[in-house]
Order: sequence, then C-alpha cells, then structure tokens
Amino acid sequence: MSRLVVQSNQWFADKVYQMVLSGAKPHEPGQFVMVEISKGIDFFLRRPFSIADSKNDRLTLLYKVIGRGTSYMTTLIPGDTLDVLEQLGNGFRIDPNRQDVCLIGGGSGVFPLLGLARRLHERGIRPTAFLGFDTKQSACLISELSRVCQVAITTMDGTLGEMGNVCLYQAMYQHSYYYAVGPMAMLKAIAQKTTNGQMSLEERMGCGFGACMGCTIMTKKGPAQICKDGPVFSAGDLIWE
Amino acid sequence: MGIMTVSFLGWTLDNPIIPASGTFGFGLEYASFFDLNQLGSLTTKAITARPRFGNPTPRIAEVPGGMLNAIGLQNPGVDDVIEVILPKLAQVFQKPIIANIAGSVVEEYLEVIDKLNSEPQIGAFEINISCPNVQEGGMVFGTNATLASDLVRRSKQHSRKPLIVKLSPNVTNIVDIARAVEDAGADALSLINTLVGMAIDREKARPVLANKFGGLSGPAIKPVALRMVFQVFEQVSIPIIGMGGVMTAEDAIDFILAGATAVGVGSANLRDPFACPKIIEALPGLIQHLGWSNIKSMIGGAHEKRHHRL
Repeated sequence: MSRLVVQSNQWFADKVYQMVLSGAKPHEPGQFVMVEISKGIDFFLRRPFSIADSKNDRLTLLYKVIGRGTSYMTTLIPGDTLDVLEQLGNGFRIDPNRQDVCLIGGGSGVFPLLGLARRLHERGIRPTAFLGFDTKQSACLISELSRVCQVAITTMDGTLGEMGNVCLYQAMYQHSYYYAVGPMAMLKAIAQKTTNGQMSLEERMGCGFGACMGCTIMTKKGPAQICKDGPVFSAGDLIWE
Repeated sequence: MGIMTVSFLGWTLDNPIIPASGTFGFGLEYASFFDLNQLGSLTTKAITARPRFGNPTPRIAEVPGGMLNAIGLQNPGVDDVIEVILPKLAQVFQKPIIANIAGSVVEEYLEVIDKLNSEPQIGAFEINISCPNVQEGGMVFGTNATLASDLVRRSKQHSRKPLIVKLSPNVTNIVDIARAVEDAGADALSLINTLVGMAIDREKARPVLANKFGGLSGPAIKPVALRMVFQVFEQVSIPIIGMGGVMTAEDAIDFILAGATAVGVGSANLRDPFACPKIIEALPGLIQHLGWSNIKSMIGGAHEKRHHRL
C-alpha cells in the first residue's frame, strides 16, 4: 500500500478523466490498482482502475465517470494524496517472437491498451489497434496510440471511423494473435471467432487481492479470481454461456 | 500476562483481534501484506464437505457505510483445505486457527468436523449457522432455535475441539438462539453475521447482486451488532467473539465493553489489508488512555451489573 500524490486530474474525453499519480511502483501493462478515494466510510470499498501507462514513478489512470465514487474523484486536485494498493493482477504476457499482433479495445477497454502498445513498441513490435467507441466525443487515446500502432476506429453512431461495433472489423481476424479489453459482449463475439489471444476482464471487486471471492468466474481450469488469477486470461481458458 | 492478552476457550490469545470468516480467505493473501502472527487468531473462510463455486457475479455491492456480499460459500472443499491450504497456512501462521464450517444438511457439517478433527492447527470450530447467501443450510439453522440446537448438539458429539457457534442477526430474538445453542453445548458464540439486504441498480431497474439479496456488513451494522453482543452477554455464560463493522481500535474496545472476549474484524480487511495490524498497534495506547490496566478487565465493562461489581 502506498500514498500516491495527484499530479494532475483533468477532463480527457466525454465522461473520461485522466489522473496522473506520482510515487508509484512500476506496473506491467494489464495490471491494476485499487484506489481508496476518500478516508471516510462514505466510499467504503476501494475502486479498481486499469492503468493507461506506467513510467518511472508516474502512473496514468484514465477513468470513466459513472457513479458517486468516480464523480467524487474528479474533485481531487494536484497535491492531494491517495492510498493505493498497487501492482495487482497478472498483466498481459508478451512473447517477443510474436510480431503479428493486434489490440482490440471497446470503450474504457481502450485505456490499458496504451501501456501495452508502448511496451510492445519498445520490443520492436508494431501492432494494429482496433478501437471501438460509442461516439466521436467519447473517443480517446487515438493520437497517443497512433505513435506506436496502426489505428482503426469504429463508432456506434458513425461519427468517427467506420460505423458499427468494433468486433465486426474483419481485418482484425487476419492477425495471428490479439489482446482484447472491453465489454463482455465484445469479448464473447471475438472469442467465438478465435481464441488465439488474451482478454482482460472486469467485475465488481471487494478487495482486489484474492481474499473476498467477489470476482470469481468459472474457467476451463476451474474457478478463478479475476483480481488475482487475472484480470488477463488466455481467451481459450474462458467459458462463454 | 500482557495488557492485550485474553483467555479464550482455554487458550491465551496475545490480543483479542481475530479476522472474521469470509473476509480473510485462508490467510494466505494477507501473508504477503503483514506477519499474520501479530493476530490473536484467524478464522478461515467457510469450509464445506465438497467444493463450492458460489453464486454468479456480481457478488459485491458498495452501500453507504459498508457493503453487501453474496459470495455463496465459495471454497475448495474440506479435502483440498486439508491437503493444500492448511500446510501452506502453517508456513505463515503458527497459532491455533478457527475453522469455519458450513453445510446444507446436518450430515455435511458432521462430515467436515470428522475430517478436520485430526488437524492440529485448528484450535476450534466455528459452526456457521448464519450465512444468508445460500438456499439450503446456513441461516436456515440459525433462525430456528430447534434446528440450531439440534445441529450444535450433534456437532458437539463429533467434535474433538471447542465449538463456537456463529449467530445470525436476522432473527426476532437473538437471545433465544444464543441460549438454545449454549444449552446444546456450544463453548462460545460469534456474533453477528451479516444482515440481509439488497441494492437496486436504478439505471437497469434490477437488483445489483445476481443473487438479489446479500449480507450487509461494515460500519453501518456496528450499532446493531453492539446491541446484540450486549444483550447476549447478559443472558449467557459462554464467551463471545463480537463483530460487526469493526474498523478501528475504538470499535474493538466498544465490543469488549459490550461483553465480547475477542473481536472479529471483517469487511475492514477488504478495504484495508492492514486493518488488523493497525488495530492491534493502536489498542495498548487506547486501553491506557481510557484508564484501564488491561483489556481483560474491560470485558463487559459497559454493563450496569459490572459497574456495581467494580
């Protein structure tokens, strides 16, 4: 557990804020943190957040403002400190010999792909990123990802890129391996086409470190905690109803 | 005897702080945060005869002052606990533990007790008759004095270790159940388990939890828990592990004064994995600040009869 200092906390896209924290440990792409957003008991549980990027002691979080907790978070200002459980979960596994990879992100699932794309880029891998958003206003990270990836975009209303759902993008199935993050319906549609990849899952969590059994799923290898055994799973290990 | 030691079921606890069942796994996750031997003891997650997957997700919901859970007794089953988990726990925790036991039917409780009887790490069994999140067993036993009494009597016949019975607050009169299980042979009581509640997702117009209902825990339930510990203390003579919303050393002291010999810390562990060591560290200073010489002398200190005795 660490006390991290808010360096910035700003509007980033529609309903999305970016918070940069200092004093952090290094994180692998795909790992997450549990943030105690206030010392009082009003927000009793910590909130899990994926990490957009981790560099030196800086942690960049992108968070979607969806409830009381994340609304409160937008009021934090530089200099505020947060109690954070760090280095949670397993992160994406990178095989340096696997060059032909693509990244698939839907909505806030795009956030953790930035750190992954940068890490792949450092290893000489330039993936293609297929990003799906509701609308142009909620699209984000496109310029950042364009520096290290080829980027293809879909929006549900057609205001940016191709119109429709990102998993209808047939081009992504021509890549031999994928890293996918997004809503369960998106992941399920991808898994039904091919399981040659890794998927990061989300669920309501109590603790974030494997104690409360709040985020259990059944996998082909038996029950698994998304927080501890995941959040990244081999797509072939997941079971779809 | 130190300022924090208490006698409980014939053992001496270094301090009265015991993580509550279901919030501490089997201790292993917390061993990466702190030395578990700082604890008085620890209570395992509920153990059943066979592996249980539990309920579908979402299993967790935050509410003001606490949380709801509907895990549904997920655990790997007693055989795996004996073969895999207890040996791992022995490497990081050298004190006697409390094994929480649950079942759908009486025979399942007895099967788990029979199998765990010969495990030397286990200092006592905690019979879970209060889980609100399963269809069969659990709270069904804890809300009916006759069923509770029968289960405890038969468990007592099988058990070679002291028997703690964990009571449900979801009853009309907890004292009736407490007396019934004491008469049936319980050696101690744990109270309280969670209060049944629910949360609604108004955007989706449906319950947040897949199980619809879940157990409410956290600071929101502390006044209810304190009241029940206080009431039961006056009517039974066996020791009590008091729990419900304990976050701080101050909360723990309140339970001791209400009549608890030991104090369970539950959902606080989930928010802050260091909750127990922080409470233990703060206790001696608080005891002295309040003008007591040791924690043992504080047990039941809030009762009028005690005041006359002092």
